[in-house]
Amino acid sequence: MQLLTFTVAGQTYAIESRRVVEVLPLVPARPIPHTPAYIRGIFTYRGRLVPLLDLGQRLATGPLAERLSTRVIVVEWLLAGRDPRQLGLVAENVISICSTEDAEASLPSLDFHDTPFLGNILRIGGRTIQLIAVEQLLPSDISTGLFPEPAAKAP
Amino acid sequence: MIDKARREVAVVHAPMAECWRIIGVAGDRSCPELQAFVHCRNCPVLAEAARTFFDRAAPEGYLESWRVILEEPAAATEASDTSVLVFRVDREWLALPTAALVEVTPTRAVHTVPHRSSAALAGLVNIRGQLQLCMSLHKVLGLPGGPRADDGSDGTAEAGTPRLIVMERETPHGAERWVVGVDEVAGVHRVGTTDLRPVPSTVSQAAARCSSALFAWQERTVALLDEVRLFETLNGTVSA
Repeated sequence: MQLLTFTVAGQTYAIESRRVVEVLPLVPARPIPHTPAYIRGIFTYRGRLVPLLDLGQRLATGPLAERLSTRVIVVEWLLAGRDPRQLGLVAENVISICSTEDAEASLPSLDFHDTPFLGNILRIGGRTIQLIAVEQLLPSDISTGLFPEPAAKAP
Repeated sequence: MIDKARREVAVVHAPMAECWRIIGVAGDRSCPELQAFVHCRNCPVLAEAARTFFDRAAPEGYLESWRVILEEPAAATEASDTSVLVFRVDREWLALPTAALVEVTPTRAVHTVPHRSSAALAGLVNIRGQLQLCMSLHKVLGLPGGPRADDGSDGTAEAGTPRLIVMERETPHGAERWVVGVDEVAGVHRVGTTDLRPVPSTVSQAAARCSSALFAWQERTVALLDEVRLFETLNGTVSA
């Protein structure tokens, strides 16, 4: 499995690269009121409105700074029985990929109830990398709110 | 080798700030790590410095400029251009869609087939161990001359180097392969469909029958061959 690595608050994480659509420079997002702090807002991505999730808020304690090197990883958000939608993840140092086949050591996922998105911890090429399960990043109620059924859409 | 070196010296510490300007390739080249990395751009110290360089805050207007760029709907994939192989037969410049192209090879001995009087059939050639029919595109298209043998010259600007073009199409009976000799190959170029002009109806040569369009290329007019009609014509000449 090929992974795209990035850092959040100095720690290296990775997501499966086949879920990645595109890596973009950071763009300003329009905040959505009364959403969790890790929803940075919504931005226009090639003519579509795409929610932007701040991995700094989700994995660490604060939002990621607007640096030149901050990136938005656009991933596919799979929805049961519907076409996939897109979700932007704000991350830093999105500069390398690696493969799980090169893992020298691994620690299985620690199963905490409120952080289901945290996956295995791997040691690859001198770096300790934690896998992030993209599909678990949003709880189901937030996902339903951000990606409503087409029929439920306001006219 | 660099990868190995990089792993071994992965803990190279910058001896001083901006060491590449002082002891690196932009300085006096006295850095011992240059033995392993040859150039500073291969050294992890410079890579790390580049990373920190981009860790500064985004300047004013930078994020906004990207917002404007990314708001644009994705440009429709340009399906309106096609890549063609441009080559010369006698004095005519022709082009073949690369979809029908297998390879371009140097000329080689063409073995004539006894009792085959069709002038268009030059003979058989050995292409990667398989005998293929080699056609004279000159005769098929009604142009003077014939496929030249490679005289060993490296191709002057005037004469060019003769080549063999191997082309193929899928038929219900399997792949159909033909080899044609041409006088010069100018490489693969992209042509926009908007640049294609119709073949004048007054032209009634065989060359025009096989052409689907004309386009301008480097101040020359090139006839784009229609591979379907060309294959039909080749089939017709051999079975006749």
